Amino acid sequence: MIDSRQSQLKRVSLVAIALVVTLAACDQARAQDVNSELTGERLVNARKEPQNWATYFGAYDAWRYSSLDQIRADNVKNLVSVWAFQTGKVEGGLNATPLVVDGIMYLIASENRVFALNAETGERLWTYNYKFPRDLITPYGKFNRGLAVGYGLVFFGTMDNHVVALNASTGKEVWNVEVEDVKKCGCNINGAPFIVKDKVIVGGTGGDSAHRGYISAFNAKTGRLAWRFYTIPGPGEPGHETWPETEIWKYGGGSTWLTGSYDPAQNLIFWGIGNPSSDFNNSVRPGLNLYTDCIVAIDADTGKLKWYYQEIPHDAWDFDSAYEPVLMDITRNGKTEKLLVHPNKSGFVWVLDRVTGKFVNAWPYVDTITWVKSIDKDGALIGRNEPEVGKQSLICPNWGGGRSWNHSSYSPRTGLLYNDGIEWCANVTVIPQEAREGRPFVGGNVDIKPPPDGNIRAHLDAFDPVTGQKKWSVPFKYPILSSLLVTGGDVLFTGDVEGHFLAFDAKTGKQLWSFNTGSGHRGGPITYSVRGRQYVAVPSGLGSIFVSGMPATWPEAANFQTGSAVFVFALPERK
Amino acid sequence: MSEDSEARVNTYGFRRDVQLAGGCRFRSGALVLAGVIGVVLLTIDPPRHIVSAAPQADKLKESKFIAEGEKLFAPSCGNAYCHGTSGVGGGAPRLRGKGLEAAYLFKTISNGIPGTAMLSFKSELSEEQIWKLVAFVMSDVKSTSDAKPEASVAGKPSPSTKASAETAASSSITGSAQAGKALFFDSTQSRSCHHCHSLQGEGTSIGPDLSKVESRSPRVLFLSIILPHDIKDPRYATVRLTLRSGDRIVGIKKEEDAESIRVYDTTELPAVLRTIQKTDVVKVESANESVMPKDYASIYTMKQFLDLVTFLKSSESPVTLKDLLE
Ligand code: HEC
Repeated sequence: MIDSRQSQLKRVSLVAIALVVTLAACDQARAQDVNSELTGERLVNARKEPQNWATYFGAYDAWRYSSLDQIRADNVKNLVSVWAFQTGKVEGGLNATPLVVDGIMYLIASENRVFALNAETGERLWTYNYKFPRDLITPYGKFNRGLAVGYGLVFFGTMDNHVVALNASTGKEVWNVEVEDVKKCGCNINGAPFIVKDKVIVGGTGGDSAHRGYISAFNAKTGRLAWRFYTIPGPGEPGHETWPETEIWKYGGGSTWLTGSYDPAQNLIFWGIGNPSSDFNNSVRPGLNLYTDCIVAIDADTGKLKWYYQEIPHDAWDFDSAYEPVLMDITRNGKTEKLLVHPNKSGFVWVLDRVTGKFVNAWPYVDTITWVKSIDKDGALIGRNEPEVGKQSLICPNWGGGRSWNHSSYSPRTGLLYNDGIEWCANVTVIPQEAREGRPFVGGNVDIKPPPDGNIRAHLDAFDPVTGQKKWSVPFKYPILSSLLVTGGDVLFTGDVEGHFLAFDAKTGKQLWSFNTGSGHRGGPITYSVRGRQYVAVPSGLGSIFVSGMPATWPEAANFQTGSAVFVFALPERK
Repeated sequence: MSEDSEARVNTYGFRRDVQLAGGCRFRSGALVLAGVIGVVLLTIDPPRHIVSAAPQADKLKESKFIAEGEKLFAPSCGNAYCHGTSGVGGGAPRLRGKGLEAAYLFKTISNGIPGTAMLSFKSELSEEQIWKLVAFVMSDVKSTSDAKPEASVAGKPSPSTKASAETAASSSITGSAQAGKALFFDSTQSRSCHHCHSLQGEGTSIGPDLSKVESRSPRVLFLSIILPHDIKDPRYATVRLTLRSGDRIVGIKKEEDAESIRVYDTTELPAVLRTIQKTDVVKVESANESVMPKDYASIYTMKQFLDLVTFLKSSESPVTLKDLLE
């Protein structure tokens, strides 16, 4: 009897122990699934977790680089496709950069459709379809460039100018805040938010409308507005005097349509501010027009301006400074400089000291530049060639940019900045226009032209990021509209508009591998690893409206197929 | 420029004679047209007969002539996008206090100003009508009813001289619908009304849509902005949620299902629509008070209240201080 009771007790306690162990294991598994431990603090150290691609640019420095090195220049030719995921709607293509955190991929497609996928298998875990008003006018498109993940939530901006947070493990909405009435502002959000500390930082479009741009920070957990930085200072604020005494400052543009970078050591967020509007008619806004076409450094806690550097004062070309501010520490002549390297739409890369905001250098990444003769050693624009009312002016590069918004990448291993370029021009005509809140406010029109020295053409290049010295260059027939990705295996990945996913030797520019995904590339390829296996994922889906216009220059582009899918590759599994 | 406008260029931009100035095709067309018309107009001198048709200077000062001009002004020139109801506060340049000359006004109203939104009115209005507008603008765009004492006063017991001076003064302080609209929708202000109210299809409907309040008296509207009040419609009851985490949420309930409750958290504006799992809620309280901020009386000036109420009333004649006080 006793024996049996003892053994019974023993059995019970064994069961109890087993239960505790199981529960603990479950907890662990859940914690990993929900990634609720992905905090702002962990994001600061994202480089220590190369298995993840946890922020839009891969890490706060905006390098679009991963140290993963299983896939290398000498074995990339062996890549095989592992899985593909179709988002189900091709309109708008696929412009996003997916994120991967702890084995789960988060993806946003056009019309704000969000997916969570098993990053090893492509199995869909949940889908979220954003409900938007049927009569919505989307002044800046239905596509989306990416999302942010952290605190167990997934964040994105919407076509109708809301910011939404979803539960990362269920895909259910947790909070939703309207940033500004889309009907009033004519603006929306299609850039990726990013998390800094306990806040989610979001920009917005509207720079070609009569609108005043801003960056907003929301409390990640509650959605409550924490701060807002207006890119055009209001009356009484320093910088307001760079606008005329009219109401134009309220409509002067300065949108924040892409994503910024962050320097934890200084607690500063860097953001590229868009063009002033009306874009081409700068006579309505005499003055420098701060902080349009600036890099701004703002305090991550308060949203207060620390410094700014204006690349293009009083812009007349729509060369906004919205592209990625890439942060790098570079040692030259025995001195380590904290730099910010910034490709601009105008065909130049600006290099700034990111502590002081001082000009270091500006160098051209395209050959055809006529909007300015040169930029002197102090950063002054010499020989501005401004389009004038009632006159056609040939301006190079075309307002579409020396390159489009798709991002560059930087490898600390090669020390090179990888960037694409387009040689093209446009005849610009200025048409004075009245500002009406939220209505288009461009003030001109353009007619795309080949450069004076030949045909419209494109190229992919590797540069010394500070001097601009070109290390190698690969010619392309069509503009590259995919972001670049460079890895610890010295492989540079990108895709072309015809659908080829391409791998290059990051040191030499030699093409190593190619895979036809069937539709052109407009998003951001990433790399990650799960259980020791490195994967490369690429969004495919040219669908962007950009392409609809290509046939006028490249008639065959009329037949380029649209799509919206993610393709994932890895080296064959060793058996 | 963003990707999309870039895209627009490519959609429409490669066609011949592309107009980039807009995202809307019709608008672009209109602009091209406006440009062409503008250039044509610039080259035309004012025809002599127009100048010779100018009425006597006295006529331009005649109050009946001015009053007729005022009637024409409201719909053609005084709307929010143009010069504002009383020649100020509109999207177009102010007219009040400019001291513009008759011949210049006549020419500009007739022909418009090329390259701007100032339209030509000569196909729409007769020369006499345009002269009436000129007379009204030269009268400094002041409502003719502003100048004379309130007609309604006549039937009432005759007020003392002092009181009638007050009456005259209080009815000459008026609101501007345009300025009221700007305040209502001012997205730089955390307290501005559009965060919770919609009106004529714009804004956010967390609180009641205000399109139907125009029938209320200015005074009632004024009081419902400045004084805390009990809510009439239970839909707008304030809810207070206490969460397991200790967080508290104050706001208006939007909807509820078996698992979750959706609340507009109005702690900070813009309000956040939060979906709270019921398992996370410790306590729900409901109060018969309003989430509407209670400190407007110390935020806005009297003039701003007049502007707001004029906007809410969407009345053609501006609300006067007198209206608020009665
Ligand atoms: C935080 C949200 C909020 C803000 C901001 C707000 N209101 Fe309200 N308002 C409400 C709610 C909720 C109600 C309905 C309950 C009540 O009567 O207070 C209301 C009621 C009203 C009413 C009465 C409507 C009726 O049908 O009885 C008026 C008028 C009004 N608001 C005007 C304004 C104006 C003007 C502003 C800006 C100066 C403003 N409100 C700002 C939430 C808000």
